[in-house]
Amino acid sequence: MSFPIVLLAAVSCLPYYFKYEKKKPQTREHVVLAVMTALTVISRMIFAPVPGFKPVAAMTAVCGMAFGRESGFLCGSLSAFISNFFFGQGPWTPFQMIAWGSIGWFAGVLNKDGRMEKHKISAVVFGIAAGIWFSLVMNLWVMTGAGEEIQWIRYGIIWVTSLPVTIEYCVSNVLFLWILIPGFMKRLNRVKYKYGFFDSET
Amino acid sequence: MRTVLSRLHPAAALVYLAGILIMAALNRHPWMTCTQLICLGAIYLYYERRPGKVVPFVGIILLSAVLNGVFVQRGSTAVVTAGDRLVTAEAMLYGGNAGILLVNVLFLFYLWNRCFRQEHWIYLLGSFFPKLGVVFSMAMGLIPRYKDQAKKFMDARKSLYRESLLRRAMTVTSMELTWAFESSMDQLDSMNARGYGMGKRSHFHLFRFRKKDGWFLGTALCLFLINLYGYWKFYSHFYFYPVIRWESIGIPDLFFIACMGIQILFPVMFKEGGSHVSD
Repeated sequence: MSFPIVLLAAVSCLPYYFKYEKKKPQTREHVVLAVMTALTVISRMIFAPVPGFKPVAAMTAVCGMAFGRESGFLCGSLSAFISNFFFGQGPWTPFQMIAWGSIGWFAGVLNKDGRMEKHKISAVVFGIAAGIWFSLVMNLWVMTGAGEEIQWIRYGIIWVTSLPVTIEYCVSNVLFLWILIPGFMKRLNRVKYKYGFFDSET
Repeated sequence: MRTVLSRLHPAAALVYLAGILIMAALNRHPWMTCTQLICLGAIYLYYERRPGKVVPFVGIILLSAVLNGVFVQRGSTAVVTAGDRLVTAEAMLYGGNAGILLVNVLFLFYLWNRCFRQEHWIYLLGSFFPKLGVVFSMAMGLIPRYKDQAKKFMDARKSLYRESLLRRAMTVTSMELTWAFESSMDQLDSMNARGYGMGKRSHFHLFRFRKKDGWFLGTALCLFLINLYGYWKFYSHFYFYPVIRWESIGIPDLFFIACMGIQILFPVMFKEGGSHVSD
């Protein structure tokens, strides 16, 4: 196992955590983040019997789209960490944290002007890209877990062999985004409007 | 040993577990990896009580040895030749050693999951990231609540309407989301009423750092540093290719092998009990 890569993945989440800690305490943000994280963890638990077919990336993306990139990142990374208390922690946890966290972050960035929310085709493209990205990050763990040397050829072979799972990730992301975006965004926007959440950020 | 580890102060437990993780991830020398395998395997069996449980791990090691032997065409001691492919003993041993390394990490995380529980993480997160610690602890509390509520919604819909499972699941998901946010407002009001974020406040923790935790932490740190020195001085280089060169085992090797074993197994020597405030 390549320890520096695992360590790098683990510490790469820290700057965002420190940024969140530096902010003025906003009880509303804590509560919303906890709710979204809990719902994401439950969504992973519900689909536990189906390997690879999970709504976690879609839930994280919806959180990022509704509450901004910072909440998206925190929801994704915390969901990975918390859900692994039920699925088992391991050296793969930091990779899942960074993968799902970054999916939430990108969703927040791309939906700044509400583009992904309005155009379903952009959500579909995002779902496919998120599936490929998740696979790329997790393959890094497979490579570092199975050997100490980092070789592009090995990484490429791992990626080719993981192609069926990558397709599964993409299909599940697209499907869940397609289902979740209309219903969830409507409700989350209502919650935001009603309680004045994240006025400064979104 | 069960209660020694799970009732330790989180800082002491983290130093012990992280020390072993770093040594397991760094070491490539077969003496060290095998010592770790024996000790961590013993702990795994101590918890699991069934020898059959180790079979998958033996499978990982054997599979890794065979696959590396088949795909890597390095080494000079031929074991089997099939067509133009040559399987060497060095490649198989390298693969086996890499498999042992992976199994060591899996055994260690098994132990980690058994003795480092949610409350340990809440304590640690709360110390370094107080706000995220709050979010973490709140989310942990919400998960069982939401699961129970989803079950209630499902049961209610089942008895009220005749509908497909998919439709019911969709409706319940929508209801759950609305309910989750509406009910979180009570929590928000409750936190505001208690003055959250108004200034420095005291914290309640399950753990207290006691003398025993200090001894444990000190021992874990000393053994880690000794083994880190051994790795840096003697065991950071071991070559499988083109041919394995075994040095004869000397007194320093025996010393460092013993240190590695003690680093993993020393909680056995500590008395039961721990640092819970309820003790």
